[in-house]
Amino acid sequence: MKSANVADIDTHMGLPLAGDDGCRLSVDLYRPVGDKPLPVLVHRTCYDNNRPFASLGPVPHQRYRWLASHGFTVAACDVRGTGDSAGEFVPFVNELADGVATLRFLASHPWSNGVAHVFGTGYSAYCATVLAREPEVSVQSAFITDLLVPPSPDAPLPMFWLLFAYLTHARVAPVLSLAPFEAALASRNPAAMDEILGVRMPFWQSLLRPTPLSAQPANRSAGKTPSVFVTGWYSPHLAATVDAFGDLDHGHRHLLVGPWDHDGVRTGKPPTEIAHPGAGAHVDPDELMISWLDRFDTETGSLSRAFVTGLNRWEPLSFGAAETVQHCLQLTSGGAANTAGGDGMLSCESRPQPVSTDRFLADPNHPVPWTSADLREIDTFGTTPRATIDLYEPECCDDVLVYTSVPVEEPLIVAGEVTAALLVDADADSDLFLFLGDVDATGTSTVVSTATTRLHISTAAATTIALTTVRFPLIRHAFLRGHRIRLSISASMYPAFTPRAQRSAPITLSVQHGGAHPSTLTVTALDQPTTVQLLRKKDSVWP
Amino acid sequence: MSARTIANLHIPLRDGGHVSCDVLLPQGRPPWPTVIFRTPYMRRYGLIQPEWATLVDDGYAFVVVDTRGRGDSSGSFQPLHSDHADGYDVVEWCAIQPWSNGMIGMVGISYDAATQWFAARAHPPHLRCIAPFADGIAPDEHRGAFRSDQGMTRIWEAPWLYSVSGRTFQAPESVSWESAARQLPLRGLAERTGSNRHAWNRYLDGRPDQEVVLDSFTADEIRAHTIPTLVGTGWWDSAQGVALRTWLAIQDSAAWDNFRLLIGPWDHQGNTTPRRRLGGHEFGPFRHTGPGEARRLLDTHLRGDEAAPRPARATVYRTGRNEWEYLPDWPAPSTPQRLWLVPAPTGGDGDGQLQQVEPDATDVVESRFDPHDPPMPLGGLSREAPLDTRYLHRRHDCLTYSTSPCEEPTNLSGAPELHLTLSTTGRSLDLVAWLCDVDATGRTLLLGPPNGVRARYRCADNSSTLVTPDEPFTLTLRLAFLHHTVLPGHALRLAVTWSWFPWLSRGTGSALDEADAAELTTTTNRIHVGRPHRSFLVLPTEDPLTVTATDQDTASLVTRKVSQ
Repeated sequence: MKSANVADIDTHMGLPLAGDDGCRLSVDLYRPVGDKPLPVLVHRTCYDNNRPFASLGPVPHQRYRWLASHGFTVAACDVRGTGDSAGEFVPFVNELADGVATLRFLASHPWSNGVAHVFGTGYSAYCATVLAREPEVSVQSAFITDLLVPPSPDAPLPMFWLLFAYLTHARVAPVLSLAPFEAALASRNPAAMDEILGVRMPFWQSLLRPTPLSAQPANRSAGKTPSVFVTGWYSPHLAATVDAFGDLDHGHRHLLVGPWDHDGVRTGKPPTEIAHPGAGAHVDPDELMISWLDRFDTETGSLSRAFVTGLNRWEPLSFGAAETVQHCLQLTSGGAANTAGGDGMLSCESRPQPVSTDRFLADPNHPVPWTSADLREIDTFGTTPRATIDLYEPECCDDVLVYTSVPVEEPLIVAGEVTAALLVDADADSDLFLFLGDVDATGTSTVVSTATTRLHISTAAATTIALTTVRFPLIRHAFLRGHRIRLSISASMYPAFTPRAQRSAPITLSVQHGGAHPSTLTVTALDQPTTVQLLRKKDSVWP
Repeated sequence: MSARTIANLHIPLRDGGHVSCDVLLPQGRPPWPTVIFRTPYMRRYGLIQPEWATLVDDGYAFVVVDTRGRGDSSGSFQPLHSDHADGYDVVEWCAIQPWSNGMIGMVGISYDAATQWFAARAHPPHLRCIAPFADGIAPDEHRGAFRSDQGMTRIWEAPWLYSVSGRTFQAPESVSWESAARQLPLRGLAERTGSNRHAWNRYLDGRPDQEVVLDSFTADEIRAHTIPTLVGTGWWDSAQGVALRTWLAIQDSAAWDNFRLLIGPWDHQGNTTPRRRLGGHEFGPFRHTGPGEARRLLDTHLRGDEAAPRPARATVYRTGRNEWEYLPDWPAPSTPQRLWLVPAPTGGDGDGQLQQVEPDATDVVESRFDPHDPPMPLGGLSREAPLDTRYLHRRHDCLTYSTSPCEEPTNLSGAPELHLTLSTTGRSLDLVAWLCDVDATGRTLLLGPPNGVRARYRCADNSSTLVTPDEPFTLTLRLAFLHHTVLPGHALRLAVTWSWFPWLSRGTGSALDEADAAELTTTTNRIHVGRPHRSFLVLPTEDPLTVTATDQDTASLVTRKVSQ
């Protein structure tokens, strides 16, 4: 595709269109100079389509001009109640109807040739996804990066929603400053955080209620729009993005998972904490999208790729491959698995291990910190896990149980499901956080994946502890020779997740293991011949 | 932002050599008051520390100097060997430069604090004040030599010696120190890690240089120290012991009113750049920081701003209450309170008690210590933090003794002391201990770095005196300094164990000298309690009458009677 001069772009700013209910919505159009109708790239954002600053990604107009220069009309839309669009912004409620109205408007615009592609990151990815799944409109393709979906009441509430609510509480996103956020987070009281920030945020309050949102139900059946999904191993949106990919029909879907956090997914840069990210770790997502738009209608094979951490290279992402084996590791200890200095082990033994129980007291006033970093150093003030986490700080906390394997003798490449089945008991409902860690020869442990769940404890006098099964999101990671596998368990991960607002008293949690019903970590990995074959391969497969 | 930088100036030294410096000059017309930062860690790295380099924004000429043998300076680097004379020469050279008004101050932490103390010892006439943080010059109780920490070899000296072994800074993180230190003999550590073998051997033998150079001053030298000085440290700074011993020692000087003290809730590096979150605790944002208070000192003594309100003598962060106090002196007046160790009914396992009444019944707690599996701080050599140490308390080779939960707030200020009657199946043992605050949920807050003492150096003359197996002997250990309030519902816990590896070397347990021992012996160590044996903790419990300043900027102190 020929690239036009970025400067040679026509714009039409603040074009009004009417939503179904007559609400005035605003769209900015960018296109290369000329008269020819062009395919339209539709981007719907809640962060102001013409903001002048770059803290939420590139300055939008520069990005839109660059995209338009590749032969597209770019339609940059302010969603209802944000930027120049009228109405009230209620997250997840109006996006399908307003999006359909926008597409209809654009289809009849002289700058459009009738073909529409949707794209976006985060909330924009949600807006794009609902349109891609809507049979009433014809979307040619979708490019979805880090899909944001409404939070589940069955999982701990990520704190990035506080940031989201703060950024979207008014028509124009406020400039972020640390001090009020630090004060809000220091309060440990989610219900008071909007007040401390000095902002009324009904959306945040709605998230704190037991049944938070009445979002539009996603149309999971209509999965015909060719789509690319891009996310990162350290992104909080990994699971949602992979799930949305899984909802689509085979043949129409492609998934790319890179060594990125949410910021990295937007910029294509690997975290600075990775010393040798490997060739291909740095990807320009917009370049990728343009290349996708060139080939989406002719591509027959799968473009799905994963950046295998540990090996630090791209490999085809296959599912349900036959060449995998399951490793079942039993949790064992002498009853004191607290901290990395405790006696917790992951045993490869298949025979039953002695029965033992590890306990910890989770105090909501002293939640487990997820990072050693100073919140000043993190652009989201710690509300979003940003990158490869050095697990030192959480693993020093007495309210974290840590189980570590012996060093692996041969490389172990995780290529399928990783599940923890735990006999967990608690004296009240609690959140549960599981960290899968990779411990290198120096004892430094970094997070491979994080899984969360919410424990609902029966009030009836239960005599047996239920087995809680927690599935980790997609993982493609190589534990290299001499490295150890680590499972860490805690009841908080602050301030990446909100503490349980309903209870201020400490909760005692216990993990029982050994005997006939052991607590286990099951890791699906490549079998040995395939591992050897993969390690011998010299070239990485880059999409 | 400096108006002008003069790079790589050579400062002549009296012996014909030179040291190199970069000079940052402020906007405006010279001459300016001048601040010197002398470092073996590369002057260029010093320049990129905004906490100090921004002094130039406040109108100071800022001079960053490579010490002898480092960076672009001539000669060879021998720790502390030439800092006295070189420090004098650098100060006096700066004072006669056209850009300097002859009013000279010095700043820096750690070794960059030692360079201040040693320059001050030489009494250069133009040196007006110093702000040495995270280091000191007072000898420790047991051995004054550079090599040891109450008789225990500091393994952390090996990475330090490595870091200063070339002409440029060698990042110590490039070596796996812990696994190297596990291998024996200890003398081979430098060779195993490819670092400076001669320096390590000299260190092990108590000879950091061809001549023995002490890192401490004599009593006369301490008394002769008179220039205004801001001593600084942090509660979890590994150098808090030497820094605060130095603070106490200089009180003997006739010019004691020239000295100020700053103690914050930070680790070693926190003396320059405090971390708001340390060991999972929130301490920031900070009302006071090291560089901030150093600036006040410089403003007063280099700008001649003597009329400005002088800060209280001691600006000290009280842990427990987590608030700053402004004191006429530190430690606060206290009375020694003796608490006796009483073992748990189960013997060594479980939490024993600290009680005010001396137990009558003789009892012995046994603890088996295997030096191959020593108690270790999480994070090894790389971290200092107020960690929750329950993971250590659960070990069989870690014995704990706790008070009952307090009913009233209990204020402690100073250095607790531990007096134990011990015996061992070996020929020596290392005693390591620390105090922590235990809240109602059992969570513990470490109160300062653990301290240790090696039993074979227990005699006053510091000679190596082996113990007789199974024969009780007494040992005294000064614990980390503290300024802490045990809040109602909280308890105080003493933890006792037998090593702090890899910060300090593991004892051999035998008569072998640790430097060349090829094996370690597992021993059974015992604490003897009850008459006639005496094992107790002495706490510096603050007197109810305390004096604090309510306003940090006023020197007129307000007396407050605290009801009992």
